[in-house]
Amino acid sequence: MSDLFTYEVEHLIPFSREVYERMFVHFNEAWFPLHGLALLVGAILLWRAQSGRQWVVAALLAAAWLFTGVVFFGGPLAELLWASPWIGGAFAVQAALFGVVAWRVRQREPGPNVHDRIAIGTGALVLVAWPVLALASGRPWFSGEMFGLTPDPTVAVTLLLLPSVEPGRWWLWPIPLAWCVVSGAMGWTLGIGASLVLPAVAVLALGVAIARSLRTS
Amino acid sequence: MIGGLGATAATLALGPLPAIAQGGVLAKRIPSSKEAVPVIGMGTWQTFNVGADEAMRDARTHVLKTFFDLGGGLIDSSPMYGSAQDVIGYGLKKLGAQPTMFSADKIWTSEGDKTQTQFREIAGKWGVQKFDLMQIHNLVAWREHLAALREMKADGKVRYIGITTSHGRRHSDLEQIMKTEALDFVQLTYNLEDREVEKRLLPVAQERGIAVIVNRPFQGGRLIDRVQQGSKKLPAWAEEFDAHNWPQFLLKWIVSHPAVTCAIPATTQVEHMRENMGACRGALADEKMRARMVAYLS
Repeated sequence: MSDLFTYEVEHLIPFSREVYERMFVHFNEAWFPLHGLALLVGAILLWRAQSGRQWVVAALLAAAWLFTGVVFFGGPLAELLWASPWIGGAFAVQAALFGVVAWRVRQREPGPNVHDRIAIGTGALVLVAWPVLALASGRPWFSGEMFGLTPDPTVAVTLLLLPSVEPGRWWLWPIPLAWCVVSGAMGWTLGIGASLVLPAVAVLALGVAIARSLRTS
Repeated sequence: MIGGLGATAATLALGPLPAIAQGGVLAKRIPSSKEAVPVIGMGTWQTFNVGADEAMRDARTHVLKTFFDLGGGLIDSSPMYGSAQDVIGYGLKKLGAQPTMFSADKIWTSEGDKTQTQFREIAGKWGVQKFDLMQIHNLVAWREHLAALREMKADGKVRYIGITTSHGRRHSDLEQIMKTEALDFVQLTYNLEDREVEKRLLPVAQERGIAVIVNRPFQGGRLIDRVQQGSKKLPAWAEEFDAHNWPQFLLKWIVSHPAVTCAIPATTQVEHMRENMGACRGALADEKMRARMVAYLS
């Protein structure tokens, strides 16, 4: 839609904060107790990243992105936001990109260095703490967002792992970074205080990736 | 001030300014047909987009019922508003047929050959066969959609056709369309803070006999927050045009403009709907009073 460029962010968000937060409650109720499996997948992901199993990490990230793209963006958010299926399509593309990595990279990589271990540790923190962010934002407790099921924690964990697990693969960055911009702008417009956490994670991860790239070049 | 005529039902406007009935509903005529519509309608941007949440759908149905109970007519929505059309349809199904309803929606697709397809989708969501008014959203593919809508009007699927803009977008393009095309309605943004339309668009609407729907009468809530939280109290002289609270003050300023047919505030609250619909009753402000209202808030 060419006319979309004439809108400001607030004019493109057709729902209120209350509706957005209640959507997560209904989504979590509908998919409970899949959250336990998502947490397990996240834990395996970080464990494999720790031991340099790059293809396993890529495969699990592909699954997380695909589920989020199809089920979350194709489901509850699509009812509220006309652009949701398009965003879901972008998530499916990202899943395919991770699928390509998983298919092509079969060898075991050297174990992570100390900086990588910090990134993986931060990823573990995101995995466990992100659902609690809802409470810190004053949202209903069951509206917490979980890695592998909803976009923000999925993107956060991905960005934290990209510099160490997928170094130099810059083509894996645009879609996660684009979502950080969209999610941050949407959350900020809706008045959700924690909405800046994801863009902050993006800046941190991108900084680490650039520094690492400069060091090795 | 314009005096009351004492009718009890919705009172028709007899000229550029509406007649008023005590205990009745203020209405203005659509220039192309002389049919009257109440001066306060209902928008659905953000407020009716609640997805499948049944509790919230029921709450919006209550708002809708209040709107009709207080004599409301025109409801406006768009495919851009997420699930708002579905939620309207949900409410209408629960409430049953509403004789005063004036259904208004929009075509919003850049594919110029999809007018009929989108019309059918919208009608399915509302649960209606025909629309009173179908508009082209923000001038998107307007030539193609306008041609298709004219055919649909000839076929009786829509009674009126129009074109919309908001937030001050594309006013020069809209002015050209208003001057060159036959339109029943135009929809635009107008409130005490956004007054650009007074220069060209409202005069052109009057000259060309085009009904005007005003969106964002409270500037998306910012204007109402500003006056309600500000230091100034509602002036006592607001009673002269029967404005008993700030929403009514702001709405009456808008619908008192001779070119304006109706305003479409949106709300999620029954109490706010009651306040808004209060602007549908009593007197309107004349030009001198409107100037006084502007001066008071500036």
